[in-house]
Parts: sequence; structure tokens; C-alpha cells
Amino acid sequence: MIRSRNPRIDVDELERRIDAELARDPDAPGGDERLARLAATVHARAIESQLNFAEQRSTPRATWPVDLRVPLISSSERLKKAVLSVMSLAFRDQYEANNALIRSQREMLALVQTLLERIDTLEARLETERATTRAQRIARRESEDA
Amino acid sequence: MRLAIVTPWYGRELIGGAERLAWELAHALVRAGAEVDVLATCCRSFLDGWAANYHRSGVSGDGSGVVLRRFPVDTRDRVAFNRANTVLTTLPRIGLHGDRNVLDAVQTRAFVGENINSRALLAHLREAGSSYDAVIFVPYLYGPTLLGVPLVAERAFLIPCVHDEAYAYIEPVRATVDAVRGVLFNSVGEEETATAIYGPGLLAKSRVIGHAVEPVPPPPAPVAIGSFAPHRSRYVLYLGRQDASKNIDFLIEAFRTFRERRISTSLQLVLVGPRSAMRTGDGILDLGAVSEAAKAALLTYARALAQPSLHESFSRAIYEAWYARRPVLVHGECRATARAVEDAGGGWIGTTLEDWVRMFAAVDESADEAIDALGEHGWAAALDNGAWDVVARRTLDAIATRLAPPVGPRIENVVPLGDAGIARYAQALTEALNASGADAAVSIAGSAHARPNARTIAHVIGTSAPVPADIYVAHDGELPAPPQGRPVFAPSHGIAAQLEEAGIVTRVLPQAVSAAQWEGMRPAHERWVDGKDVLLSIAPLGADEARRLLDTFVAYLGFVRDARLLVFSADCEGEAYQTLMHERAELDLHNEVVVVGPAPAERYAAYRAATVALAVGRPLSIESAVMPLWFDLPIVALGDVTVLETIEACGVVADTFEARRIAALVRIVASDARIRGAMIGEGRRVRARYAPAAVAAAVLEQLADTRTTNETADVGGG
Repeated sequence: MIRSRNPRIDVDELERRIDAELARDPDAPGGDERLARLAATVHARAIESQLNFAEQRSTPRATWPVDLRVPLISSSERLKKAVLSVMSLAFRDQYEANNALIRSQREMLALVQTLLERIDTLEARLETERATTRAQRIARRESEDA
Repeated sequence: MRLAIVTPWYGRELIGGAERLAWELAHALVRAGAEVDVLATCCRSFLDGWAANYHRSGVSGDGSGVVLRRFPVDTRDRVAFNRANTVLTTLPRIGLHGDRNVLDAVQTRAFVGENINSRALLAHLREAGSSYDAVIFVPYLYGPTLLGVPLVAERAFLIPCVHDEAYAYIEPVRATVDAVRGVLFNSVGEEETATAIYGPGLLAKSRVIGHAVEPVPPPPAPVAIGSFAPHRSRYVLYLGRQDASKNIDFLIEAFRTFRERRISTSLQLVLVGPRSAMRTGDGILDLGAVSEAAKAALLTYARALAQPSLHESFSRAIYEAWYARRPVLVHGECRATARAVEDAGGGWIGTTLEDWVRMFAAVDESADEAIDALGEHGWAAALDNGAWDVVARRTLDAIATRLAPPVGPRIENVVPLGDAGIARYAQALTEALNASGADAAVSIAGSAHARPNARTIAHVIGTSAPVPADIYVAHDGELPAPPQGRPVFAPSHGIAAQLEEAGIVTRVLPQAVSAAQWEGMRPAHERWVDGKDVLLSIAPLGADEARRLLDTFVAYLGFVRDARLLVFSADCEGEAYQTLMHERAELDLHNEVVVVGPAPAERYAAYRAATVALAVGRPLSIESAVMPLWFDLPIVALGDVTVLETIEACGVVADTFEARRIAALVRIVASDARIRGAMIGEGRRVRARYAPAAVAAAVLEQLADTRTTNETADVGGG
């Protein structure tokens, strides 16, 4: 039985919510955990999308950018191709380095996700064990008191 | 009184909130009889380069009596400032918490050193600062304030115009707030925001002076604005700068959602104010900037005004709407506007998008009479808010009181020997009276140390020896002798009721509980501010109560995996402490259960970190019950006599102990913003009854009445 003289608190509604809270499956993940998981998913998606973007841009350019106007070169398809080939050759090492970095980031992301899942499993197991120990301890104390 | 107002930009034509305030207040203070120097820079406005001198430096006047002294601005490293500023403006709101510093030392130096600054202005303050009775700084976050306050700290008053934003959390701003003699707020909501950021110690030196708004007279005849005829339309009005910082995108999204769900509605959203891009959509009309006459017409015929901004210390638009007898819709996360609407009852408060959709539906569906009734409430609040002359009088009064409190009478609190509870009460009353200007002290009944010519307050119980006194405070429901017409107080309603039953007219004089002890305090550490729920035990514990507390906490951990329980060491001594430590070890709660040391900074850190205050121990003292309210903590407690008079009026009280049930209740209170808001809001009203100023005022008024009665009797008798 609870009470309050606060005019902005509906005690009956609060009692109902307490009952609902108590009736909840104690093993179900709490709201905060759900939010934390959602936040982690959002982060992972953001990293994934950045990696996709980086991957798209990490290959040598095969077409001349439409918004790039360079006198003489822009008017000649052959010159454009030649410039693109030179650029591709000149930055070959850079492209390879970029690709290696992107691949390693993807590996890292996968590793982090695996670790997060592992932590979740371990945390849940640990919590269950701790909760059981505490419940046993309280029950033992109560039986001793009785 | 000779005053200086220090503000970076000054001029009649400036439209920023702080700039208008500085201009209006300077002129109102002159009208109220003060000599006013405005100390401003030569920079033209906030939007111009902060290192560019537009105005000529020197002294000028506008014929009103305000003396304007302009000082050239310094050169600055704009890039370094912008780098620090970007860190602040991109900080997520979740990163802003209590005492956490949000900028590193290098960025902090850049923010202050490369802000708008004027060495010449600072030199003037250094040389002539002491010639002013008080120096008022407006607003809080620019160079002249941050660097100027330390030069005249003992006479510095700050009108911060603060809202919950990252700038308010940086160390130099905290230091400024700590250093000033007084803080003057535009609104109660602004004071609450500042208290949440800087702690309740601020209340010892703060005062709400208000902020005036001139009413916009309604148009003599209907006015059309282009093809839009306000008098023939049903619309919600948005009035103000149309940019993201005013949360206008949220407003538009909410209105679009409302229109999608109510296709047949004729309610429109009309946007008025300077804009960088046109906003359009189903039922949305963007009029851009309009004339004063058009604004008056739009206010007069609107169904309501929407103010979605989260960052206001005071909203002019709300008061303009209320002067036009129109209700308002405000955002629940902006304390200043939400508190104003809460107090006035002049509109609706909503936090989520769904809340706003519901509010639009309410505006759409409500009868005209219901809308008008809300508008009338707002109108009453706008009238009550007063004009600039009233604000100026409040300002002068606040400054004068802070600089030299009025001298009150000499008062002796006479207490019986050996009663610690009464001695504590009397000591708290003495401190409250002294803070209000009296010269009060405590003495033991029958002691030879009583001071001559002092008014006496006798603290008595039924078995005390009868003593003559000007006022009696009966501590156990009985008086040793009839009061002989002297006023009688009781420390609680329960005791007052007992005395009333015996036919003695009694008023309640609660124990004063002051937040002044926290003034200028910083928490000992931030270890407990890590995102976990923090339950703060506020009741004294015995061994059984310590077990009960841990059982509740273990049940709480069943709902929330990560939580912390803080217990004051003063509340668990001897056997209770042994039990708590033993059980903590047995239950493997070393990291979760923490005993808070007796140092004030440690206790302060606990109060500041707490999410909910929990009392499942022995009966509470008044101080234990009320102190959490100064920290805006919701309280869940087991019922007892003190709880009945304090916590029950704002928090939630459990009649019987059931660990899981109480844990579930605490969980709801910790996580439900609406319930927390309700408990905190009422808690502020409850704590005001225990504020030293309120308690002292009751005694001083009574003493003044007693003196008048005596003098009248003497004259009559003579």
C-alpha cells in the first residue's frame, strides 16, 4: 500500500504499474540494456556505412568527374583517359593501403561484435550466479531469524 | 545607488534577449532613482566580428540619464575560439551533467581568452570598479563577464540569462557563479535550471527579479497579411527566429504528424520571424518577418502560440501571447518556459512528439471558451510579471539586501538543558534569523549568559520551568504554563494539533533547513556519475534496517543490472555499520554499496549523483527528509511522523516494508520522467516552507506584531 499527497501523482495508477513491474519476467532484459544494445547497433551501422562509402571511393577512378573542368584536358577524351591512367598509377600504393585499412576495419568490427556478444553472455551468467547466491543468502538469514 | 551594467553589446536597436534586457533594465534603473553607467564594447552586435570596433570609444548619453561608456575590443584568435566553441555546440545533451567539466584546459583558455574581450573595459573596472555600489554583468558567457567578475567580485551581480546548454558547464562559468556576490534571474525556471547545474548552494545568494514584456496592443481593425487573413483563420502561431537552435524542426515534424492523422482539420501552423530558408508543408504557412501591426493581429487571432525551444531563460513570445489572452504550447524540457506555464496554468506542456501531436489536437478540438480560459490564466500571469519599473525595483531591493542585510532585533533562543533535538531546532532557527539580519543566539534556560534587551523565544516542553518570553515554541504538545497571550508555535502539525485540542492557538514553525552550507561547494569526485542509477539512503539505520536496505537494493538489481547504493556513514554507526559491511561482503556487493564519508564535499557528491532518495530505515529527522529536496531528488520512504509532514506532500510513501514492491516503486520513480517531474516540482514547494528566510520571516513578523501590541497596550495603560 502506497500513498502520496502530491496532487500530480495518481497513486492507483502507480500501484498498477508496480504490479506490472513485479509481474515482468525477471530474466527479460531491462529497458536500459535494450537501449544500450540499440545504441551499439546504431554505432555499428554507422561504422559499416562509413566503410561502404570508403570502399566505393577506394578504387581508381575510371571516368572523368563531370564537375571538373580543366582547359585542354576536359575537351579531349584521350587526354582525360591518359590523366586518369597516370593518376591511377601514381596512387596505386595509396589505393592498396586504403583497401588494406578498410579490410582490417571490417575485421575489427566483426571482432568487436563477437566480443560484445561474449561480454553479454558472461555478464548474464555472472548476474544469474550472483542473484542466486544473494537469494540463497537472504533465504538462509530469514530461516535463521525465524 | 551607483550601478554599472557590464554587457558586451549595447544599443536600442539590438534584438537579442540579453541585449534588450540590458537596455531596458538600465533605463528602468535610472527611472527608479539609480545612477547607471553602462560599460559596453565598441563591437556593433553579436552577429558582427567580435574584434571589430564599430562604435567610437568614450562616454556618451542618450538624455535618459544612462551614461554609456564604450571600450575598444581586443584582437582575437577566431579559429582557436571556434575550435573550442564547436566542441561545446556539438556536445550531446547526455554529456551535460551536474559538476562534470566539459572542456579541457587548452580549449577552456581559448574559449575565455579568444572570446569577445576588452582590456580597456577591464582596466576601467580595475580602476573605477570600487566607485560603484554594485556592478551588474549581463549575460554569463562572454569575456567581459568571465574576466570582469574577479576584478569586482565583492560587488558583482550576475544576470546570467542561462539555460541548459554546454557553455553553462565550463569551469570559468562555474568560477564566475561562485565568485559573484549575487545572482539575479529572469524567471523561476531559470533559477531552477541554474540550481540543477551549480547546486542548491546558489539559492543562498540568488533572487528572481523577473523580466518585463510590453504588451502588444491589438489592432483596431482586422488586418490581412498578404493573402492571409488572421481573423478568418484557425491557427497556432510560432513567433521568433526560425532556426534549428529554436527547435523549430521538431515543431514542424509534430505538426505534420498531427495533420497526417487529422486530414480534415482546418488548423494551420503559422511561422513568423526571420528565417534562412522557407518552411512549407501541409497546413504550414511561413510569413517570415512581419510588421508590429501584423504581429499584433497574428497574436490577437491565434488559437495558441507554440514555443518549442529548449534553450530559453525567459520567453518574450510567451508573455506577448498571454498579454493577448492566448494560451501557449511549450516544451517540457525547457525549465524556464515549462515552469512559467505550470505556475500560470496558461497552456500546455509537452516533451515528446506524441505529446505535441496531442497538444495540437487539444488546440483543435477545445471549445473557444476553454481556449480563452487558459489565455485568461496567462494574462493574469503576464500582469503579475510586471513592467520594467517593477523589475528595476526588485533588482535594487535584491542588491541592497545582499550588500547590507537589514538590521533586525536582538533575539535569544532559550532552550532546556540536555535536549539535543530542541537544541538543533533552536540552532537552525538562530542561523535563519541571523541570515535575515537579526542578532540571534542560543542560551540555556536559567543561564546567567542571557543578553540584555533581547527578545526571547522560549523553547519549552511540558516539564520545563515556566519562563517569561515573547514567543513560545512548544516541542511536545504541552506548555509548562499558560502563554499569557504570547504567540505559540509548534515545530510540526502533529504537535500543533495537540495544542489546539488543549485550546491553545498555535502556528507551525518548521525547523529551518538551509542549502547555504553547500554554497561554493564542489563534489569531492565524480566517481558516482557514471550513468548508473544511484539510490541514496537518507534514513538512519540500525542492524535490521541495514539488512532491510540491502534487501531492497538487491531487489532493485533484479530490475536494473547496474545500480549503486550510497549510505551516509553518519546514518550507520556501530552495529548498523558492522551489519552493513558483513552483508555487503556476503552478498558480493562491494562495488555496488558505498558508504559515504562525513566530509561535506563527499556528502555533496552523493546528493549530486543520486537518482532517487530512499528512506527504509529508522524515523527521519526533518533535515534528512528536506535536504534531498534542495537537490531536486524524488523521495521514496517508509511512513513515519516526519515523512507524513514532509515527504508525503511530494514523494511516495509505503505503509509496509516489502523489498520487491519498494524496489519496483523506486525503479518507476528513477525511470519515469513524468513522475520524477511531478515529485521534484512539488518537492520545491515543500522545501520552500523550510527555507531559512521563510522561517525567519514568520518569527520576525510575529515579534514585530508583539511589539506593536505591547506598545499599544502601554499607551492604553498610560
